[in-house]
Amino acid sequence: MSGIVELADLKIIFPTSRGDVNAVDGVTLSVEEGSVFGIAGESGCGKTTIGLALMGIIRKPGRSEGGIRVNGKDVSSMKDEEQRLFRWKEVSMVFQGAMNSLNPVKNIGYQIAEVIRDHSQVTRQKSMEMATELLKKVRLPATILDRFPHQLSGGQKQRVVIAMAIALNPKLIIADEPTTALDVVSQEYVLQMLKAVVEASNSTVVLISHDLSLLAEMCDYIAIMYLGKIMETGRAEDILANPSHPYTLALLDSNITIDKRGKKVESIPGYPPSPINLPRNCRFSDRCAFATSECYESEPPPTTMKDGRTVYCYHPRYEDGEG
Amino acid sequence: MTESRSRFARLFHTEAGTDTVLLRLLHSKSGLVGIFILAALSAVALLSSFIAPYSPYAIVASPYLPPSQSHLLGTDGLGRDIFSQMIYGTRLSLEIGFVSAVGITVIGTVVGVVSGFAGSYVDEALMRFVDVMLVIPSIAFMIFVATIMGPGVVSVLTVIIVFGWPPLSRMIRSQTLSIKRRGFVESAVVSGSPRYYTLFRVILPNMTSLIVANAMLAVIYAIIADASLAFIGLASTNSYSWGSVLYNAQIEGAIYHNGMLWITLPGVAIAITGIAMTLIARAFGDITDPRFSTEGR
Amino acid sequence: MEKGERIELKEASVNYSTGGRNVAALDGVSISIGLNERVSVVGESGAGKTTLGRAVLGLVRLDGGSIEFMGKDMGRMRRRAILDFRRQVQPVFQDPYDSMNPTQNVLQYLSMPQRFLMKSSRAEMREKSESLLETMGLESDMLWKYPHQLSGGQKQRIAIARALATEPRFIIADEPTSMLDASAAAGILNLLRKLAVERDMGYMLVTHNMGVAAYSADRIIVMYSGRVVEDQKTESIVTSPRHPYTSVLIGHAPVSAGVAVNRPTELAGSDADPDAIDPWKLAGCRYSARCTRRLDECTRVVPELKETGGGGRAACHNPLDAE
Repeated sequence: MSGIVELADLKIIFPTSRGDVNAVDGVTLSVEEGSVFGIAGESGCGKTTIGLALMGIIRKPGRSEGGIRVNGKDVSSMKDEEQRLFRWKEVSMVFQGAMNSLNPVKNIGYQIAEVIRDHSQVTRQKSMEMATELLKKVRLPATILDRFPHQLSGGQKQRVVIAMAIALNPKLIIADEPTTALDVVSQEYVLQMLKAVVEASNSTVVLISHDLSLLAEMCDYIAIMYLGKIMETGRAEDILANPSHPYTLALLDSNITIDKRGKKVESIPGYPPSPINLPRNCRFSDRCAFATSECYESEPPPTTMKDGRTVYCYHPRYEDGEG
Repeated sequence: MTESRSRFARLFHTEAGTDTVLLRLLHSKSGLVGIFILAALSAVALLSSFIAPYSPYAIVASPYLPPSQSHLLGTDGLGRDIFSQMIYGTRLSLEIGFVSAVGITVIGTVVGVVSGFAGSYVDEALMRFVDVMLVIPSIAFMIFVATIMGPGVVSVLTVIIVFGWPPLSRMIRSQTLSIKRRGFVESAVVSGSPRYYTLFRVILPNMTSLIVANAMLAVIYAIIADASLAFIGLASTNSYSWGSVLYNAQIEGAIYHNGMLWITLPGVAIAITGIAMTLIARAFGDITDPRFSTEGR
Repeated sequence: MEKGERIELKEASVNYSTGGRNVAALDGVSISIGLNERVSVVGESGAGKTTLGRAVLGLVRLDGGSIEFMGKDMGRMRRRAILDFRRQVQPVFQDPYDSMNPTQNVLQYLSMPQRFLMKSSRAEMREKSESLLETMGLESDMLWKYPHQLSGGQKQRIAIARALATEPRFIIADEPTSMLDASAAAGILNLLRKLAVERDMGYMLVTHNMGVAAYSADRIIVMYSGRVVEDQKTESIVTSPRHPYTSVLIGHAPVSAGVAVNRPTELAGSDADPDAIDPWKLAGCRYSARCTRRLDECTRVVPELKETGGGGRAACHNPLDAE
């Protein structure tokens, strides 16, 4: 079975004057069509870089090694024109600052219609009708069409961007921290709306976020990343309820939630090592409470557990899931 | 460490480490070339009395001789050696360039920083004054000064500095306004930092690269301005700069007498100085930007 | 604690004009905070919580009302009194990446408050700075580092160290963790709490995150559009909020995986769009356009902040029942 996204030992390297930064360092994963797949991790873990790689926008002098296939096509070998058609139509993206990428001097209707006309042969009239339809889907009134970006709130703008992302019915939507800049309540509305839209169109979503509570609510599957590598991946419910990798465990423990008031939340000791000259052992070993000598010697291979998840650890915590 | 450094060293202390700026400039290719050219020009200026074969004022041969072994650029209408004038001109041109640049930078920086930091009526008053300076037709003013003060180095410097600082103060003011809003300035304020300290020790060091780069460019501005002033009669007739050599070449019809060298060489010298200053300014901008630092955490 | 050792806001108001309209960032706020209290101010963007913190620090000018520090009106303080106030009340700012001067090293940064507020000698400053780093769990060779050589978490620790240099009685921390990863955030909040307990120091933690507020504070003040809407002890506000807006914020706070949530809704009349309403245009309660418990008078009469029993206060015409 092959998924809509197939990453095979993907490596993304950015050369710097101090050495190569391995932003993504050997990621293998498969995303099932129609699912919501979450990529979690802290800043610098490579989650955003994966999102950009899926869109085919790794800027020079960055380079990728290994396979990136989206919808059966090899993204890394695409020509410019091919990529232009591929974006929006097959893959679209909503990122954190997307609302600030709207053109300040064009009205919203024009900007949505422009995306549509750029990729399909429709009349101006028809594209405007489609724009109205799209706004309805993201639950914004048609009056927004004549507005300019500065007249909208952050939540409204972010929804306009989502409307643009779904305009051409792409198979895959990459959402990188789509609601981080919004207030909690509008976050909730935007997410619910995104979920409803995706369910209706049967698109696949790769949702990239640092917010575990948000991912728990949205995702079918999840991958936890640390320093360019997946630590643990599988069904979101299983992993978030019963984390198996010590990093997942520590990350969940350090997440401050309202039910933890009065209890002590422990932060993860130490700092992540530099992404230049990565260690050849388990990269979490220095900060791990369960590390033994083998963790310092070699990188743990993937282990598949009973519930189907894959863990890269010599000492997975959740024993019941062991295969 | 930094605590024991002199004030001067601290101003030039870059973020990235303890290397001196000069050392780091020499590490960058454009900085190296720029400094080499500047050093060569300075050597010529300092040693002009040894390099120049004749006194620039002395009548040493027949008028309008073409370039030859004994007079590399020929002689002028009074029979003075043009090559010697160029050599001595290097000294005066560089002097005018650097003295004006210091004047422009000091006035422009102080006015800009004070205006941006103080705000309200101080800002209003200073900036309206700058506006006035910017709209005064400079040529008319220069002729006015020439009439009052008479030609000479002092008049040239006065005119160049008076018209050179206003644009810089504008730039420094807007930079001050944007730095003023940064968190670290507020951090200093709540640490009880008095105004002078916030202004000169917290805000100003963050503009070092901008100020130095502009000072470098001001040198070229001043040298070119000096050349232009020669044409409206402000330059002194009894001292030579590249500008006055060029002016003489033009009024004496150099092209008819001794070929192109007399008229082109002053321009070439000015252009080479310009290239050197631009290279240094660029290298300086690069090395003081912490993002180009080679030391990481 | 002696009576009068408090920070008291009396009808404090601050107006801003943005986009051609006047907005009351603080609109007649009256609260009293003991210098050894650990409180949190919570609200969405535009609630006025940051302005509140800055007003107490004397960094914004009041347009009405007054703020008293230990019984003295801050608006009438002379320089000597202001320096005394600064010695006792210190802030930690939101953005650790911006709070250190790029041209100063850590020693210079930590020396500033000691030099200007304590008139310490050079040797004293050096010694004190070293001990501050130790308190923060940082190595003493960090004194010679420049900000670009430090991570976000390290910078935030140094920002706290700077605030502690004068042994203040009270800290005002504006979103100190919002720009940090979860694992680093927990460490900062734990450190703040530990220091407060050890030194009998109070703090005011400004945050948009109800989870963080409940974790770190004994008392929570909820703000909406420039007004205080509720002010209660943490445990009672979380288990039994009285203002409908508080209940929405609590319902949308992050929870641990597997914990059941009850998400109170807001008015569908606004098309479930919290962004669509301009609260400053409302005559009565500013929250009324979003409120499901709205009564007639809510749109006409501004509700007063009234005692709700148990020492708490809420500003609502139709509060939720106490459980």
